[in-house]
Amino acid sequence: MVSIRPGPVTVGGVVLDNHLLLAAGILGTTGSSLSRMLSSGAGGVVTKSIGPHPKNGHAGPCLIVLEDGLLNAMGLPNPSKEFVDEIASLVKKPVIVSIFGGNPAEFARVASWFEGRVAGFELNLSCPHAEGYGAAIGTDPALVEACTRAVSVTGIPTWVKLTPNVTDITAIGRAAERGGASAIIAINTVKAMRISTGMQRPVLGNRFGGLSGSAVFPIAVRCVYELYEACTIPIIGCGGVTTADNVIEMMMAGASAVEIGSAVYNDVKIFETIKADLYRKDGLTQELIIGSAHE
Amino acid sequence: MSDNLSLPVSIQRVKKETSLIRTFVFDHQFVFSPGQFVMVWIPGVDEIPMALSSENTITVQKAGDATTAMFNLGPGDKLGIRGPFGNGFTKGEKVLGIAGGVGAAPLLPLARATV
Repeated sequence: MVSIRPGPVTVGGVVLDNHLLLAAGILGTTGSSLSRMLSSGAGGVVTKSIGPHPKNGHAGPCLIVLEDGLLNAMGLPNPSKEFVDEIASLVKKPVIVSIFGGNPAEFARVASWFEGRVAGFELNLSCPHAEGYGAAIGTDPALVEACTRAVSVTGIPTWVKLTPNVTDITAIGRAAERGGASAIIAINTVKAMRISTGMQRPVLGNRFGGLSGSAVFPIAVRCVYELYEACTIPIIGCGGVTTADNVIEMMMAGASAVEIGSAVYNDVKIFETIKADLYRKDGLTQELIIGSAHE
Repeated sequence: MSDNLSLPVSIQRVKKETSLIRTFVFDHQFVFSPGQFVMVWIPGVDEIPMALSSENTITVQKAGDATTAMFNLGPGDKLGIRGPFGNGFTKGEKVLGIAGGVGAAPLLPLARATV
């Protein structure tokens, strides 16, 4: 297997301890769980998405465990501004706060609460199951550009997480780039549903949700590959990464780092596990790997 | 991972414990340790965690939307069940169970297993 020579990692204006980040929405609701992920090998962490108002989220069931992935419709539950205090102890750590809003002004407002307290922002323009937020905005290039600009003007690293639930993800990636994004993350979950045949009802309370985990890895690789050819800002690969070889594959497609979420469900020490396989002193420098599958 | 969709169970009987507490008897017996809980799906309402009060019962106090909806269910109605989840109680030779109100429900299988 290809391995990476250890070295400094800076992606989209954020200095990371390694190429592996905790993805938004997994163990990201408390300062202590984020701290635990950092001390168990994550090179950086992304918080659960924070919005302009507190939200309870959707009625259950909210999360279904499938053979090769997770299906969820949480509905962006979050404590809003109170979260500022929750992560106060993590100042100066590689913590990216995921934020969402219904328009550019709301994005700017939420971002302002965290100025000087976090390493960067990840804009959730991609949640597939929250009305008026996430993918409702993230499928419109003009709105993506405007929301990105509303946050990037702060000068704080601004990453934009994209939805795969569009015909052409490169159009959205380029819009984020025009808005001043310092990096893009591909992908958020794939819109999906399951039905209980015994109950004759959709299994999620919200009926529709987002699929993550190994099942979506090939979709994520394809999106990263397409974005690498269309954009010049760094790309962070996200979606079904479970092994060190998956990390290398994402990087060959064009990712400068990866985010890992669903794999934490089966192995809470996944970051240590992957790191042990990924880095070797005689490995290749990252420059020789990133985008190397392109001709 | 393996597909972990809810198991549909039918309510066989509803036992009225008090004016606000009822025990729902299922047509399915779960293998579980005392103290473990299941996720109970009331379609169209919510999915809530509830400790098993025996291998085929949950004992529920009417408190919110989901439990209020459950109180409208009777024999033949279906619930979706996931689990059991959690670690259950630590086993010991001698057991002293202390609980208040409906909190006694998860202790019942422990007391039965200890006798």
